[in-house]
Amino acid sequence: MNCEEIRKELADFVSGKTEAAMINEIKNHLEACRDCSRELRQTKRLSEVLRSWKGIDPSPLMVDKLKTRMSASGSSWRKIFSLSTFRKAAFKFAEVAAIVAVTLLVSRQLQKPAPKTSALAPINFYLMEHQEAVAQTASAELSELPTAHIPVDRGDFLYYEFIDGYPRAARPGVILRGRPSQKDVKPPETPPGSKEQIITLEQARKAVGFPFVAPQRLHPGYILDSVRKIEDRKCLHLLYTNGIDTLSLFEQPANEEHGLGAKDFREYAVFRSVEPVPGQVNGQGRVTILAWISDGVSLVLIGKGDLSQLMDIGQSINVATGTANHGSQ
Amino acid sequence: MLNYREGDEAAFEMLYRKYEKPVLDFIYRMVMIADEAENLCQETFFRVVRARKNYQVTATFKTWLFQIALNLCRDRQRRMKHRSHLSLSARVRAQNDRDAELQDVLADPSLDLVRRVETAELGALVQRAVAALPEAEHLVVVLKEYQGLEFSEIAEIMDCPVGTLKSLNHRAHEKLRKTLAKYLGD
Repeated sequence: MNCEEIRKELADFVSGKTEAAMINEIKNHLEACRDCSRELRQTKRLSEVLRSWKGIDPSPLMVDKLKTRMSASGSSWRKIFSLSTFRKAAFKFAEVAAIVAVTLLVSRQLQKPAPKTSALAPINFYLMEHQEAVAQTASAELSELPTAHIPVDRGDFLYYEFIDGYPRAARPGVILRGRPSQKDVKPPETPPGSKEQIITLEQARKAVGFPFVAPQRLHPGYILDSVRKIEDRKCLHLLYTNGIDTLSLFEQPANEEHGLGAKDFREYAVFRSVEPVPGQVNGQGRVTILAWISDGVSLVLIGKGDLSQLMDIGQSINVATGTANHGSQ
Repeated sequence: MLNYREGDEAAFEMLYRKYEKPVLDFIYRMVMIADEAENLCQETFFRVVRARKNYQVTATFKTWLFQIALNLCRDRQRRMKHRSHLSLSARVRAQNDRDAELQDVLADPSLDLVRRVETAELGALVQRAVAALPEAEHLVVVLKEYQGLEFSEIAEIMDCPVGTLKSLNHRAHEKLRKTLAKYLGD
């Protein structure tokens, strides 16, 4: 082999992958050729230098997303992720985050219209990562941990917050911060779905002044029922229904005073309500709430479907964002 | 993969555990944006799931998996060409990723402070140097240097003769040596 051919083999030679038959030929050449010998040293040094560009580690949420997609697509995956994996991830989460603050808009369209006398709906919110971190510290079973339990007015904005500097806290802290002006979410004069409530997607786009998105996938049987702008706010509420249950999507710029901030969480924040408390609630069933930020827009998806269904819809919204398919239905 | 195709769900768990990190790392070094890399990595494994029933043994599972990942990276590149506004945003995010990476290196207690700073700076320079290579050279360097694949495996992934790959790799090394000359000595 000549110098040119030898030099093409140096990458394999350095990594010990040279074919046995060629090793002696290369060694002999290197002993006799100062230029190629110098090239070998530089190849070795280059490999060392290239390694100073570090890779990345998978985030714990990546596997969750895949699992959710697999469930949504009907593929099964055995219980792969041990509790300890989740706990490890939870601690990592708890250590890194300084403050997690999530603003949830709970609208009256969360459920079917109810009499004004049943305006309070108890919803137990919890952040799974935080709970697991607490569980690990306290060597307690998850089921023994109390969730935060707050009576929430259906028209309220709810703020969920905990300070992560103290992951050993016995229970998640939940703070309701100053109620918004009632005029922001005042009860509509007419039932949802009436003509006065409905604006077109094009009108909505003009009304809010930001590129909102609509999900590309919905639960079977769901159709868009109404689009409305929350009064005095750049917030849009898309209401979908299958005639029985509803699915609400709230969108607003993430930098708005009442919206989620970019630092509020890393990926999705997932909340689930518990079953209604007998005698306290009228019509409030198990609700899953998904909150996230995509392209500067704060999104809150609320529905009665299971988490994988909501994640699937959320994913389709992100896809729509990614393809600039704003406002499409 | 054959076991998974035949219904052994645990086989997928093993595949995922084995290849999650290498695939993510490969994609990251191609697209340079951490959250994009995670999305594409997730999509890669999702495609494996979808292809389960039709999987045919035409190559090793590893090269097949990397082919899927590479196709997704290329699809993304094609989309990005038509979306300059996102490219601008991506640069900002890429910068954030780089900052995070620098922070990781700086936080590594196994290195002394001076070394940490040098390593962090050098890592960023290396990333820029590799990113500046033409796609084929970039790809060979990533698969060879960072994934440690054999040229024969890279040939399957890129559908390219081994001889051509060795030339590409050699050419890429020459360019990198020039760009990073002051760190190589000699």
